[in-house]
Order: sequence, then structure tokens, then C-alpha cells
Amino acid sequence: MVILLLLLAVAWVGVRGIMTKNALQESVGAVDALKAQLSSGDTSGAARTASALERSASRARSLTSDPVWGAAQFLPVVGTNLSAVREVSVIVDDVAKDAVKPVASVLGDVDVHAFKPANGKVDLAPIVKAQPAVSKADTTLDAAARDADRIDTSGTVSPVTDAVNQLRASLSSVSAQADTVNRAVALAPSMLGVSGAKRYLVLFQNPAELRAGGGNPGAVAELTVADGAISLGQQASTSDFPVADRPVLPLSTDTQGLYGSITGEYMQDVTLTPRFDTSAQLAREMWKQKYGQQVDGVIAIDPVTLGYILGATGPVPLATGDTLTSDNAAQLLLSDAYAKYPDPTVQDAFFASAASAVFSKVSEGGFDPKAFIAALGTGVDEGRVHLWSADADEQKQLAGTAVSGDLPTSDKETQRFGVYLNDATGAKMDYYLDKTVGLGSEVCRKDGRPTWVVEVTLKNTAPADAATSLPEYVTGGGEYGVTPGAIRTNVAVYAPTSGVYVQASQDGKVASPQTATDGSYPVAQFQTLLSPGESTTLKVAFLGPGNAARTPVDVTSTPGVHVNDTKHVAIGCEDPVG
Amino acid sequence: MKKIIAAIVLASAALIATPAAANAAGYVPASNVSVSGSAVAGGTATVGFAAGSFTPDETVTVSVTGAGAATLGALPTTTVSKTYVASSTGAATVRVTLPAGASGTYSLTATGATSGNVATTALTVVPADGAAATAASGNGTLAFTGGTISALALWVAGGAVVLGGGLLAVRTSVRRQRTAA
Repeated sequence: MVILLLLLAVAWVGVRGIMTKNALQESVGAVDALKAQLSSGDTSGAARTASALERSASRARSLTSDPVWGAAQFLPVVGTNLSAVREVSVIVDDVAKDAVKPVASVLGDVDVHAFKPANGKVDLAPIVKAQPAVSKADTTLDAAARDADRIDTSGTVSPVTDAVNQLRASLSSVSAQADTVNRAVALAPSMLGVSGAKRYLVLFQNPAELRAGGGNPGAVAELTVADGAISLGQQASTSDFPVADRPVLPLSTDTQGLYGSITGEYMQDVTLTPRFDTSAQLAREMWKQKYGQQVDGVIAIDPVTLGYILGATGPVPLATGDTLTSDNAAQLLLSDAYAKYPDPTVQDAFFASAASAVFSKVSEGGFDPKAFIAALGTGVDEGRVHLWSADADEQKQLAGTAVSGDLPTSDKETQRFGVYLNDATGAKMDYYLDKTVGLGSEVCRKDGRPTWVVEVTLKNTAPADAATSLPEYVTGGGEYGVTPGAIRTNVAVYAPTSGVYVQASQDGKVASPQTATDGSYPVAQFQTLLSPGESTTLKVAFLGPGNAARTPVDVTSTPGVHVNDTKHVAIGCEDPVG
Repeated sequence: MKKIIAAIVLASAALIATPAAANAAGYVPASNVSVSGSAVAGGTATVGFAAGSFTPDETVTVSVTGAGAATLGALPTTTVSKTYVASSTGAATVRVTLPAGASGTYSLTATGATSGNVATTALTVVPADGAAATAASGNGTLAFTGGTISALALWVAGGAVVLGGGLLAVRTSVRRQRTAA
């Protein structure tokens, strides 16, 4: 009798298992259809499919939530698998019901084209309308990710374990994305002036003269945004700003010690620190002291990002006969223009003509919004675009995102390092500075603590006759003590806050960098001097904590004119920096 | 957005048209601190402040903050200060000897009395190799060694795998939505 009951129960659970599998398969089909519909812009179809997904996911959930299945979960071996599958079904159902469905239903309103300004104005209403759905999706995905982390896989068979791990990985990545979208949707209306005009300072950073935060913010402009309508106000070049004889705002001792009080005295130097919130506040104060206007936020962008944006607008012919394209923008704006138009007045005319040409191209609707957003996204990913808000609540939303320009934050998934470059030549030579950053982690000690090595190779790629072949404006003409053609660079290497500086080398020889701290971050700062064609390699070893011995490592660095991949560094334990 | 682009280009003009050298001297960052020697308990590190760090012959106050004479456990933080005189080129050299039981970070700040220039460094004592954790080399995971897995478990597992695939697809669709949003 007991055996018969057991057999019945096994059959029951088995049949429902198959049905669950079918329901989950249907969910997969719905998701595939959803993908296709979303990419073809069929938003009403996508909303219908989202409903179908909701139904199949809900069926899988109810199939695994009856008492027999519930009881079978207590069986040895099979039980843990059953409960894992049940939990997976519940999570998928939650995601379908509270994340996919609500977001799909507002898709029709928040189309990518909604971000293309019409008559100089972005319509904010659809974004405001999408806020509740996106916020709910974010909360749901965050909870789902946490639920998935809690599924017990200690006794599951490998296909179930794999599936659960895949689920965890997917959810952790999706919930991170949803978090970003939620922040963007929550921030965009208020930052774009839905409830009153907002003023922003835009810093145009020139990576031909490197700063930790990107480049010399040689030019500054004020933007006003009111209810989605953007207008350009006061513009200034850094030479318009008086030099303060002391920092315009008090600097931390660490900032002064690493980057000097000039960080707070010259507009050209506010991005010497990699902490963008500090840079932004200094720039805002300098602007206020000069123009009396207290801005609501600060944006930083660079000509390389402009090049990416030109990819969305297509080539722009200029009156001078030049054609500005995504391929030549950086070269034309950061290098060729100096040689081509040595007279600064002519340079002004050249860039004014470039500006008006790009402007008319864009105002004719001559850009693809998808490509435009992707271009901006590339700039953001490469750390070329930063945003800071003076509003504490807005800044809280911005913190930790790719645009915030924070120091790298380490967690249990990744230990993050930073390599920040500042030009010490007083010139525009960094167009010719090639940078390769490498990173490695190895356990060399008996106590299991990892040794981390950061490697930075810099090369001066300027022609051998740079001193005479390049304009004096580019080489600096020796004004700050550097032989024309040579490049002097300050390199600051930041380790995770748990790291301890051990030793450093330059080209295999013991080096004596400035060891310091920036807040709780250990820092080693070097200065390099490279003649044309010369290169140098710096290595810094840090000791990490034992619980990070197997944690993957990553490094962010000042985005230069050229993009280089990070390389892996193999560490020899007998001489980590050798 | 159009105007942002225009602004970018307009400002790029200004950006290039403004010679950095036209500004007052001194906007170029220096790197004037070097640390040699070893930051180990009882060791001596030499902190060098390059020429120009301070004004010639000015008084430089150096203070070091960190754990005092160390034994075990949390230590009170102590600060020691000493006054130096910069060289005729504005350089200075400071030798810091760490206590025999040194641990943690020792922050050094040098301040020029006349110039107000501030230079900093931090010496962190590298912890000795504890050599404690060698026993942890075994695999802590209890392997599943059951010979027969019920057909049911396989179905269930199959469903879960399919689901995993589905979730990857969901992920892609959410990403699309993100692009849209």
C-alpha cells in the first residue's frame, strides 16, 4: 500500500515535472518571440507576448506548488532537486509578472525615438509615465537575484546546479542593468528640468593634455535645460578664469599631497584628481566666482566621444574643405588642427565652422537615435563622460554608475584598481602617448594572501624630430622644463582599499614612487619622462587580503586619445615586480 | 542634444585655441615625493621632497601619525612632529624609523611654514607572512556520488536547463528594453 502510494506520488510528480518542463519551454518560446518583436519595434505584439510569458511562467509555478510536490521536496537526493526547480519556477514567474510584463506595457511610450529631440526639445512625459513600471521591475529583479542566490544547490544534480548558476548569473547581470535603467528613468526628468530649469556646466576635456579625470578641461560652457529643451549659454575658455592664490574650496590633505593645491586653483587642473565629484565642485565654484551663477550640475565629455557621436550623424563636410568623420575627429581636433592652422584665431574660425556644420546636420534630424545613444554609451563605458549633480538626492542616484567618475569600488566579485595619468609637460603631447595597462593576481605567500601587480607601459610615439616638426604649442616649447618632443607624465596607481603597497620597479630596477593614500585607497605615484620613441614600464606590487585570493581583478584607467586593451600580467613570486 | 553637440564642437574650438602656456606658470602638476627604504617594523624609510617642493630655506613641519610602540591588538594612534629646514632649492629629506612593533599605515604630512605647500606620503607596514592557512588546500565540496538518479530528477533537471536558456533570452530582451528606456 505504501509502495503503491509512493509510486502514485512519483508518477504525479513526474507528470507534473514534464508539464513544468513544457511550461518553462513555452516561456522560452515566448521570450524568443519577445526578442524578435522588440527588435522589429512591434511593441503591441511584445505586450501580448509578455502576457503569454506571464501565463506560462505562472503555470510552471503552480505545477510545482501542489502538496505532493511539496512533500516530495523532503525526499533525499530527489527532494533538493525538486525544491530547486520549484524555486526557479517561482523566480521566473515573479520576473515575468512583475518585471517583463509592466515594462513591456510601457514600451510603446518609451521608444528609443522618444529621445530624439523634436524642435530642440525632448518629450519628458513618456519617461515620467514609465517610472513606476521600471521601478517595480528593478525591485522585482533585485529580489529575484537575491532569491536565486539563496537556492540550495548543495545536493542538486549537475544539470540543476548548472541551471541555477546560469539563473544567478543572468539575474545578477539583469538586475544590475535594471538598476541603471531605473536610475536613468528616475533622474532624467528632474535633471532635464521637468520641474524647473536646470543649469549645467560642461567641461570639454582635452586628452592630448592628460588629466586623471580625462584631460585638461580647456573649455567650459553653460547649458540650460528647461522641460526637456536644451539651450547653450555662456561659454568660456580656461584662460578666462583668474588663477586663485589658494584653492577655491578646501582640498583634502590627500588631494593636496598627491595632486597639489593647483587642483583647486586652476580650471585646467580641477580634473587632476580622479574623484569627479571633487573636480565638479571645484569647477562649479570657479564658475560661480567668475560669472556669479551657481550651476545645478557638471558634465564632462571629450572629443573622442564627439567622434563616436559623429558615427551616428555621419560625416560632416566643413567650409574649410575638411570633412569631419567619426574616424578623423580625434586626429583632426587633437592633432592636425594645430599644424594645419597654427594661428589660434584661424583655429577658432575652423572650429566655429565645424560646430555650425555639425549643428545643422543634427538639426536636420540627420542622426540615428539608436546609434547616437550607442555612441554616447561607448563614451561612457570608456570613462569619457561624467556627470555630477549638486542635488544630494540626484547625486545619490548617480553614485556608483558608470558616469559618476568615482574611484573604483571593489566587491566580492571583482577587486578593482585605477591607473590615472596627469600630464606634467605643460603641453599637448599626449596625442603621442601610448599606454598599456596590465594586471595580475597570484598567491605567493603561505598565508594565502594574494600579491597583486599593476603594470603600466608608456611610450612616446612622437616622431624623432618632434622638437622641430611639431608646433611649439604641441611640444610646450620647453616652457615648463621639459625638452621639446619629450613627454613628462605623472602616473598614480590606486589599489583596492584592502591593499597594502609592497614594492615598485621601473624597467626592472627598484623604483621609489610616492606612496600615499587617497582617502582609504593606497596609491603609488610615479613621474616618467620619455623622449620620442622611448618607452618605460612601471610595476607596482600590492598585498591583498586572504579572502580575495581568488577574486578576479580589473583595472580602469584614464582614457587617453587611443584605446588599448588591458593585458594579463604573469607574476613571478620570487620577484613580483621583476 | 543637438545643442549639446554644437556646444561640444564650439568648445572644442576654445579648447584648442587656448594655449596652456599662456596661463601663469605653475599650473603643471609636480611629482615631488619619493619613498625609498622599507616600511617594515623597525625599518627606516627615506622620504625625499624634490627641489621646489618648498620655498628655499623655509621651515617645514613634518608630522607622522600611526600606531605607536606595538605589541598586539588595537593601538592608540600617536603623532610625532619635527621641524626641518628646506634646502636652498626647496628640497628636504626625512628619515622615518618605524617602531619595532609597527603595524598599519603611517601617514606623513610635510607643511611649508611660509609657502603653505603640503606634501604627503603614507608608509604601510607589510604584514609578515602568517603561514597559517596551509591546511585549507582540500576540496571542501562534498561530491555527489549516487549511482542512479531517478528519471524524474532528469526531467526536472532538463526543465531547469531549458529555463536557464530562457533566462538568458530574457536577459537579452531586458537589455533591449533598457536600450529602449
